[in-house]
Amino acid sequence: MGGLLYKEYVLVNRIHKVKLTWILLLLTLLFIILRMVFPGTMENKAFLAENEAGEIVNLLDAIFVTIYGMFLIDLFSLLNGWIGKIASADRKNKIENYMQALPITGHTYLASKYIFLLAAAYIGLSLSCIWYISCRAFCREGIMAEIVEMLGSFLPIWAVLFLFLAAIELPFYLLLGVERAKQILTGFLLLLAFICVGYFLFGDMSWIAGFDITVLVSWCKRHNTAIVLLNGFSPVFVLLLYYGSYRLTAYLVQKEVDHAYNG
Amino acid sequence: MHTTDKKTERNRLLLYLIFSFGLAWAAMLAFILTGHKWDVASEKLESFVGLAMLAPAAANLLTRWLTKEGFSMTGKGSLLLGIDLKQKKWICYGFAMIMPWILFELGYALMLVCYPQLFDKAAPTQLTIGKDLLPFLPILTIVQTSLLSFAALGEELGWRAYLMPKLIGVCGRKKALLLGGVIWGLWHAPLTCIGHNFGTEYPGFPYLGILLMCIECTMMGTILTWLTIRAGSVWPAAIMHAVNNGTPSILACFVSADRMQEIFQGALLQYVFLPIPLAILAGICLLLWKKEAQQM
Repeated sequence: MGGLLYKEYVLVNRIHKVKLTWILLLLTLLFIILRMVFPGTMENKAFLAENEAGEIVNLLDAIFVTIYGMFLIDLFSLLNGWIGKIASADRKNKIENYMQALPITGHTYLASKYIFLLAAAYIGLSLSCIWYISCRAFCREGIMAEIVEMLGSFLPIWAVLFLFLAAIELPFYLLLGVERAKQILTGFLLLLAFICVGYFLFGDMSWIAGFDITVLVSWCKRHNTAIVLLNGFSPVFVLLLYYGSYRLTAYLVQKEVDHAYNG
Repeated sequence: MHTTDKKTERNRLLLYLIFSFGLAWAAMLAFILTGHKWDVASEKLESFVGLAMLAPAAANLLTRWLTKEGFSMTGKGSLLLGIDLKQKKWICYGFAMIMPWILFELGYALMLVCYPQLFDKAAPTQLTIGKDLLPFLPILTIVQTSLLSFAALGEELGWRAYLMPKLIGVCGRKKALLLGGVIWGLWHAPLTCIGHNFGTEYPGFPYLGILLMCIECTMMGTILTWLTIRAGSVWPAAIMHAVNNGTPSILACFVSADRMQEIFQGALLQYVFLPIPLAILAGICLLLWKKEAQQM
């Protein structure tokens, strides 16, 4: 199992001859150091601005909050890209026959894919949390601090969403192959996009009038209980779903192998 | 273990301790020297200083890199990051999640039995999560702290995966548990000196606080080390540490902080109730450990 996990790690770690682990580590250190050097409490007039509500906002906070938000989106996209990558890499690199020659069962091979993504979700969540703590610790109290807290309160939900997508996408990639899985998933996403466009064209859009980040922040404050419950229980449900996805994939793969073997 | 091996292990331990204390104390001292105090600083800044919990893990990796010990994930002398649920090892994970909750409830129950006047029916209104969620408090804390256990994992990767196996090898189990607990307690000393855990208003400040921390760390360390050896992994210890730091207790919400201040007036006596169940569990773990060692 360790070897299989290491194989996946090597696969995702290298981006154009640069190791991703080092990039993430250095970026995190840089973010922490810069946040400490430029805290939101810095009373320099050049950095202070007044927002529409008449509240003084430190632009340094705005910069760091924007960077943090972008980091979250980038990290989520990166991890999401790994689902297809690790599912298709063995076939693409033509090492499937070699894998079959190893003294491991099909279940171990499948489990390694699922465990790797689970570990990736844990590491991603931990890293996002370190960024959150650093960003929030030096934020001036006010709207920017509230935005960071809002982003922070959704961190477990980001991880849950990633695992949910992995639980849905992995069986498609592993059972149907990359081409067909991509066709089905793209078709599904297009359907969602069409529904959204349809809603934007013909639905009741009155709720979007006057919508901005402060509305979202106050919505989160109003629904704090729901968010706490979601953070507490959704990981349990998604882990059960994730395990179910693994069992289902393993069962279907076994059935396929039996079918091929029996003629 | 041969004498030369012991000497090598001692040197490695020394190097590890220099890194572990150096990195963590640098962060803690920076916090102190910039004029911060634990009870005055914002909760957010405290969380940031809490990132010093990653120092033992960094020290483990740095020492391994310098001593060329390697970075294997499983097996003897490894980072102990592998997870094996076979041979009833899954019980360790359940134990790690549930036990801190039971210990806290027992500790607070003991406190309320001895001082019933501490009970305040209205106290849960001070909760940030809302009174309706009180029955779910332990499960919510267990799930969230397990999920965000990276800081506790940072400490355990140092203490349980590097320090304790080496200390046990060098000086035997009993001495290692005592020494490990004292080292772990002293590691917290800069924060204890500014009021972390016990405040600053107790007689004998800060020496009694440091001593109590060393005792608590020895008891907790015994349980966590047994758990790590039993599971062959550092994960149950990390989970238990994280859940313990999250204080998953319903009874704790009914203990009035103001009345506690009135009755104890800052005396360390208030912190004696909680470690009693911990001490009993540490004793049980030690007995189980001894029994398992005899069977092998």
